[in-house]
Amino acid sequence: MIRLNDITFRYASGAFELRVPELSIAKHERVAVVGPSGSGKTTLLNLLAGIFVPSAGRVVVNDADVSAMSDAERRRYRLASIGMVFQSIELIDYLSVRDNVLLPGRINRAVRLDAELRQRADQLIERVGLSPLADRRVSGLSQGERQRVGICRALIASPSLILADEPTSALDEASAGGVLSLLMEMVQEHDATLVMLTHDRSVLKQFDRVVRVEGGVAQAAGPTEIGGER
Amino acid sequence: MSSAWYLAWAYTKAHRGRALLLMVSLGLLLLLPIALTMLIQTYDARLGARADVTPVVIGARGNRYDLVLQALLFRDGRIEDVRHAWVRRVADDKVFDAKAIPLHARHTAGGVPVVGTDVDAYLDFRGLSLASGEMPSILGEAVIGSATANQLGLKAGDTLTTDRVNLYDISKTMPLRMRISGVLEPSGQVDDQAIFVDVRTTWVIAGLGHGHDPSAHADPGLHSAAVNEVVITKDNAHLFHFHEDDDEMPLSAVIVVPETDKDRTLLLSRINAEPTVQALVPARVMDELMGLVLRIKRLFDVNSVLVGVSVLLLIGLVVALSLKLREAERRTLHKLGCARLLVVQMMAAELAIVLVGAVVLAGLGTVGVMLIAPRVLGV
Repeated sequence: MIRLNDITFRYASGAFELRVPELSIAKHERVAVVGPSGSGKTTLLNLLAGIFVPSAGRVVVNDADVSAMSDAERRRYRLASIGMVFQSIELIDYLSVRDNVLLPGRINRAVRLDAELRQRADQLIERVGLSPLADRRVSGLSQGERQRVGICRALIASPSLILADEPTSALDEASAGGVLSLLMEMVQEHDATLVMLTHDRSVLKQFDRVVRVEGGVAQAAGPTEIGGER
Repeated sequence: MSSAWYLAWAYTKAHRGRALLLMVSLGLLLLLPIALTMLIQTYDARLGARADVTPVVIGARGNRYDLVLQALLFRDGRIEDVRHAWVRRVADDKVFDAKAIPLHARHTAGGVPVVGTDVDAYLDFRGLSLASGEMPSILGEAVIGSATANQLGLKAGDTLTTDRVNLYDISKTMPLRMRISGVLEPSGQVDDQAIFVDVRTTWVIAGLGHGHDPSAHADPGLHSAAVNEVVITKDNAHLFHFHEDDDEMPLSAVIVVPETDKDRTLLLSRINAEPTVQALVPARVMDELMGLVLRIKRLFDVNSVLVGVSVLLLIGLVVALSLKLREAERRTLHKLGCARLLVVQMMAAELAIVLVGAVVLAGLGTVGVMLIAPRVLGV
């Protein structure tokens, strides 16, 4: 369960402020965040990930107050509870597909990089159809293949919350559909909660709920507000 | 392997060209001063040791360093010849007791110095012994150092022809084909890279002695079939003679071994009173020479420091640019929850890998330099 109450976040430059009066996301819910560019969608995602700390208000994820955590605690929270899928994919180019998927395990001192985790990585890679490329460096993959690696990386630590920042916007139409379907399927298979930013209204019907961010304010939107597409 | 090392190694492997370039740059930076210091130490030690056991050298007046290097290393410098008479004069002098060993090292065979001397006395003086064969018994026979035997692929019983003095003037003295009577045991000294003959043989090479067949105008027995080299055999050796008295024949230097320190002092004062020759104590001259070399090395050291600083600054720039280029990677690691310490450890591990590679390269380079040093330095 995720709850955001009376959140205010202001950038150091003071140029932008995001407010979230109240927002709740239930466990296993799939939520799309929509809104124009520069409205504060990514800021909302960074608040949920504990990358940003609100100037006021509380971000509570699974009963833990993320906004009250220290830097190190928020880092550990990200490693343990969050899987992130980025718009620009953000893989480590000099690592292989398998090593990129294993990266969250490798940088988490609390996790043992054992045979079990390696097997899980291989299963995820197989699930997204990249087994033949598992030992290849990701720098040689297509954007669609890279984003599939990104999804595997987000799921390797079995996080309870997946945060996806427009994961298909850098892909061509054919790849985008496949990657989104895969993401939705895998989130469901892993019983995770999904919060995904998107500009693509055609995909909203695949989500349980929509949050609209506009003019620096984030609030839940009803089905009618998104064209009744449920 | 820890995560930092694993990631650092993966990065280095993926950018091996860049890493190798950095390793080579740093390796050379380390190698140059280390190798130079070790070369100078080797040169000093080997030359110093040889100079220390060579009490006095007599030669023509002129550059002292040339004379000592000629007498110790058989380097054909710009020093003039002295007359062979000095060997007799030293031996006959009643004021001091000393043994004189002639040296005439003006020619080469296969690029190796041919040293004319009293072979028995010289080998005895340097503590050299035969590994195979026998001592030269007639003119034109030679014993060769072990390195020369290896380098030229020669053994006792083979022949070796001296290098032509003037390649384009066939009217000059013809080369001498020498028979190798023996090969010396390795000594670790410059003698390993030399050819030793009786001093009279070098006079033949210099064209100061020759053979005649009194029964004919031509003397085919003294020359090879092609009549472009002189061959001395047991059958024709008696036909060779010198038109000058031995006293008038040239030497490049004379090694003198006085009986006592007092004899050495007397010898030095008497010889140095002569207008055309000088007597030198090689150890003192080598100390001066090494002092000069070390002063030059200090200048080189300063230069090395300056070059080192500029290379390190350049490497610093490369690292800074690399960090800038990898900012996105660091940001991703941070978003995923990576500790800053792990990122720092990873960068440090990458630098450590490059440094270790550079040290290994410098080490290999130093070993290589030390292996070829004796040949390059000729000591």
